[in-house]
Amino acid sequence: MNMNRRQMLASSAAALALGGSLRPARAAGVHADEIVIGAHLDLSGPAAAGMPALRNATELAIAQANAAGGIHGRQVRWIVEDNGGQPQLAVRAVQKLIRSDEVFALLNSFGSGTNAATMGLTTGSGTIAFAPWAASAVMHQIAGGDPHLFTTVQNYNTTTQRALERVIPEWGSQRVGVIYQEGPFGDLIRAGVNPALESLGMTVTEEAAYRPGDIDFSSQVARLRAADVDLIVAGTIIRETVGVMSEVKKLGWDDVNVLTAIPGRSTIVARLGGEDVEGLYGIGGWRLHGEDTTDEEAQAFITAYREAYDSVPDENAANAYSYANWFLNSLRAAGEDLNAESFIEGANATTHSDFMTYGEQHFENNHAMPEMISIDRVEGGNWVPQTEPF
Amino acid sequence: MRFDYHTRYRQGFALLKHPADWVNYGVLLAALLVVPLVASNYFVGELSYVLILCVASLGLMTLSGFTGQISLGHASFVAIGAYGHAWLLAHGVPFILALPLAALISAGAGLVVGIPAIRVSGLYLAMVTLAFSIVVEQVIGMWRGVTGGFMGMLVETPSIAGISLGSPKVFYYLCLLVVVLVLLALANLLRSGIGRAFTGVRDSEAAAYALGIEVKRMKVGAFGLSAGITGLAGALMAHHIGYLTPDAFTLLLSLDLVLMVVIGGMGSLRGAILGAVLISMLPNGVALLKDVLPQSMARQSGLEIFVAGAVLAFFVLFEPTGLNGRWMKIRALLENFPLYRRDTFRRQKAYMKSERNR
Repeated sequence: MNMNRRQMLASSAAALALGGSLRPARAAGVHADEIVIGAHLDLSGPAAAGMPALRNATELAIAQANAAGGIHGRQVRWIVEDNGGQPQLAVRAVQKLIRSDEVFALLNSFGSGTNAATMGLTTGSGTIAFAPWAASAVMHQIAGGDPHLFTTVQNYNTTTQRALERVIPEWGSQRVGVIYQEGPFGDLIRAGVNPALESLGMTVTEEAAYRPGDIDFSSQVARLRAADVDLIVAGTIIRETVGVMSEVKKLGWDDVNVLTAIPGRSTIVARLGGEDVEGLYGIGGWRLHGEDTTDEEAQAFITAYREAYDSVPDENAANAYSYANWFLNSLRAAGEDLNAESFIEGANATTHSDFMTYGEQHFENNHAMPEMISIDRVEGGNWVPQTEPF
Repeated sequence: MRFDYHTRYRQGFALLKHPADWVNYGVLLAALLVVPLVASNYFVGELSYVLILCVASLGLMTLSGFTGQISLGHASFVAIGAYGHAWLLAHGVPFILALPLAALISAGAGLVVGIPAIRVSGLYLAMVTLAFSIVVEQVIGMWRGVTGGFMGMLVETPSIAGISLGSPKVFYYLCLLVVVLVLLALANLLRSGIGRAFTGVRDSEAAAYALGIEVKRMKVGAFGLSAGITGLAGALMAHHIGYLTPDAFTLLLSLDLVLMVVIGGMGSLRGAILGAVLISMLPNGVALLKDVLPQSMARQSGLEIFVAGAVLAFFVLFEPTGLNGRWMKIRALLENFPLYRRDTFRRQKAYMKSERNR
């Protein structure tokens, strides 16, 4: 096809204009004196009990930024909607936030299924999705590499893999057993265990699954005992971790190491389990701070939180606070002319390190990197780091 | 009070009893058709979701309201319809075919569950359906090749004749079309011999059997039909959610559906619609309520569950006939005003009480 220069110019200009109109840099929710953002949390579903901490801490971070004059003179307003732990309700909540409230971004939205269902809707409309509380790799897979999605939650598979690749040679473990939860969480844990063992030229000796809600782990532990494993990888959350450990102690089985993944390495496990969890190893994804912490930043956060909400923040609250601050810093870095594009640039240029992180983090392919972990051990009711973060 | 003076036998079969009803429903339909032209995308999206739940609620009403069989597992039929539809779409089946096929797949599953339903009823049937829904949830989680397992599966956004379903307005019209079709089909079915047989089975199995109605076939058939309609709702739900994971179809959804038909009013299509509208709008209502409540109360978690429970308790205590019953009472009051007889709706005979509400 022959085209003269003017025609070419005209058609390319038209193409540019078309492309621009198809996906303009979204600046919804950005007003002269206000930035409106939102979130959907599980306020009435199975995880409702954990939501106040997440919500309070995020609000605290935003209130502190607002009190300091806002972001380039704009106050930040965070609208919380209920997703009830159900994807279809989450879709409604996000539709409301995007279409009715016209939010600029979603920050600290909670849930795997709920975030999975709403991710396409969010990034497809040009809304920023920052720090969804869900499996990060899955989120990126759903969003198809969309630049509007920024994940901060550590991947359970890669962190488990790196931890195992370090501890198995160190401890000289020969026979590895896995206890995992049926469902997405268990799938992720095994997706970390299997490649780790493969790279060390080993295979899993025995596996035992449990169902969400199980409280008795005698059959699982007995099965691993029968297989005579010397390392148990426990893909367990709070109660399950304690359950597995008390079963191990009950059997008097002391020549085995139990290593729990990131969700199990929680302050509550150490406190709840008492004697039973002494000696339990855990993969740490963030630093833990008690009320007696010596870290000034952490102390300031705990004090501010207690003043505002009359309770002591847990690690979820601290993480929500940390993520929210990273988001606010990204907003600052985006400059006065705020839209989705400038935010993406700003977030990619922002590094993050505070009282929760093991080192300085930045976004790499829109995921918080490096994923530093440490190996901790319960000693005297507290998690004590056994390694430098790596 | 309006009286029916029939001058011809066929008048008793009319879809709507009074000419005025045609006007009323026509106006309602016209209003629903105009809504997307004037309302915001958000409102249209909300209405679409309400319409989807209306279809699901009609599905359960066919089973519980008309044949008197209880199901606590209808979320699994929604799931089967949703996953079936998404799988068919992913394998290149055109949308127009995938929608009815998904309903057929779900209806097939319904027939399978319906077979034990011949033998058990009441609480035991509730337990069977509950067990079925747990099994379905697990199967969805394990059958990775088809359902994507716990990680989920993406639902493609198809286009019909070049118009993408991704647009909220197009999707709304699709949902409206499905609701109208299902409603017409059910209304006609219920006036036919099969519909009468359903009601007969509900009110007294023995009497129905004595009249020559094939009770077993009716019960299984009702299960299949109900599952099919619910599966149709599931197919639409797949597009509403966009990314399917097993936790979209838990017991919570089943209970919501039961709430809809009970609060709406057992045994009435209008009740199914009214119940679906009320239950699906409850979260919005609670959100509005939170705005006026003091902060300390509004931030309590679990307010939604409390309100839903309170609404259910309210209806069971004060209006056992549901929203539909209340609607008829209000209508009678308005029509007869100021001459309202308080005992109009008092039940005169407790007919076959032992076999009702099985």
